[in-house]
Amino acid sequence: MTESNITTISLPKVLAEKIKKRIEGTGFNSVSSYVTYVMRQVLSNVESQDKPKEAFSEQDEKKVKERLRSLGYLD
Amino acid sequence: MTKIFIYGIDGAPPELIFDRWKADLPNISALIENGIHARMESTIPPATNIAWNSMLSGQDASKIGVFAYTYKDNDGNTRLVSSNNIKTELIWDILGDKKRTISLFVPLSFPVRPINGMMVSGFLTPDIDSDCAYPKELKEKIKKLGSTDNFFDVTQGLAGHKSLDIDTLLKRTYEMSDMQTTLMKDLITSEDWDLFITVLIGTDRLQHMLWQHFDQTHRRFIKDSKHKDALKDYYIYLDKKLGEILNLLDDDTIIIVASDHGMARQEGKININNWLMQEGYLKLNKDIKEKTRFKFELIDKSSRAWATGAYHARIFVNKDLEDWQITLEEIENKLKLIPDDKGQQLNTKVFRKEDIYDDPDAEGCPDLTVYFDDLSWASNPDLGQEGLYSWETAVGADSAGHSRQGCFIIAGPGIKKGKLGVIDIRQIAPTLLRLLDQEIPKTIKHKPIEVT
Repeated sequence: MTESNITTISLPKVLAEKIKKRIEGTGFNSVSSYVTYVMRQVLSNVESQDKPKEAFSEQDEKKVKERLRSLGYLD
Repeated sequence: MTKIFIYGIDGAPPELIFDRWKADLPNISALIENGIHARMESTIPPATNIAWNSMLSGQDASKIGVFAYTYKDNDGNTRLVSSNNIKTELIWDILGDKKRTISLFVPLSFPVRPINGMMVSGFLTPDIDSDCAYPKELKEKIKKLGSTDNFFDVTQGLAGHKSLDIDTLLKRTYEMSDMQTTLMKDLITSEDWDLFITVLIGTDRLQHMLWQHFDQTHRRFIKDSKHKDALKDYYIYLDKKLGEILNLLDDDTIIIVASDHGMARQEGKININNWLMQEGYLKLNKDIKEKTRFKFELIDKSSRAWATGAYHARIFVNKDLEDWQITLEEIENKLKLIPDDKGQQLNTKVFRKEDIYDDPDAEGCPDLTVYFDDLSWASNPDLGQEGLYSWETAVGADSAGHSRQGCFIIAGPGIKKGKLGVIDIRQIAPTLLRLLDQEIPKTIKHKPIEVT
């Protein structure tokens, strides 16, 4: 990551200290890299929740699509 | 406390309701005379699933997040849209726990979600065993009404609407409407509610098939058809059902009769992808000789543009083009010059996404939306068509297509009388909120209609 791709954000000191302790002996060499990792995880989970859930079973979807086709509504 | 009842008639055109058949519809006429009525500009495009949700959210297609009946999922598969695709808050979300809503048959409300009130989903519902009712106990009431095969739409399973003969279509439409209006009447009296929303789809189904049986100006007009009064009779039936409902409503209830779009005779279809190929914008990765439905998988990578959309056309210009803007403008100008089959000039409207949508970067947003001859001509995206014009798609013929303006009628306690100029479908949600004495969220940009 180049300098220009990085921004600085603020964390409560107590939290930063906790993270520092937490990453001791792990592969994370800084609080920043740990926070980046965690935030990516969180956002990915949130985004996958935002995606449309499966509304139709395969069979139901086929059934409704066929109905729409017969109405001329499906291109 | 003010209550509002909405009698939604899918695709009811102002020309039929306000003029041609007004004298035959005593209950609708009385509401027109005693209240306010206006032509209502629908969404772009004027498609059922988008327009009703626009009416109930105050937003356009880009904010709703739906442009068609299908969308591409993350794996590139073409999937059917559902209520899960709707990105915006609908009226029952905005009203939250403050007002109780009953919503029956609103398009794209399947699968239903828990709301402060009750909900039965609309015509995209697979069957009674699916998530079609909230609370679930409502299903028991529905099962007692008759054959649930026919409850959500006139066709179920794999039987095609256009493969039905007209007598069967009519029979099923009345059966469906009988069951749906019986449920309405039951819930009007047995439940507490502040806002009651209903959408009857039968008109749309009949209009697509019956227009040439009564409209003498239709180029395929069927003289002395035995079905020449069938559509009018169905409107008379709906008016009678409305009368029965009006008798059940309290004096403090405001009544709205509305349609999501209009309907107009269809002259024919323009084979939009044939045209794009002819003009050198679209190339297919295999030779198509037989009539084939358009699929994204058939587009060659070198293509500059392609189109989807029956009725209106949605044009997508290849995002990788260096001369994207020039190509877009070129296509836009050429589309306006496409004549009809007799060489006459058409009144074609072409809309750019940034001119019509609040969020032109929304997933699936077409670069251009095209109304051939302002929707008197439809678009046919099918491949393997001969020439530029066709009279039916791979699924059959159409005698009418959606037009831009629907109806809006409002009457009841405190409502003024008179005819308004053209209003916008996005004004309805804020109008409802104001009548129910609720705050209008800042995300709704359109102003309420002055009705009181």
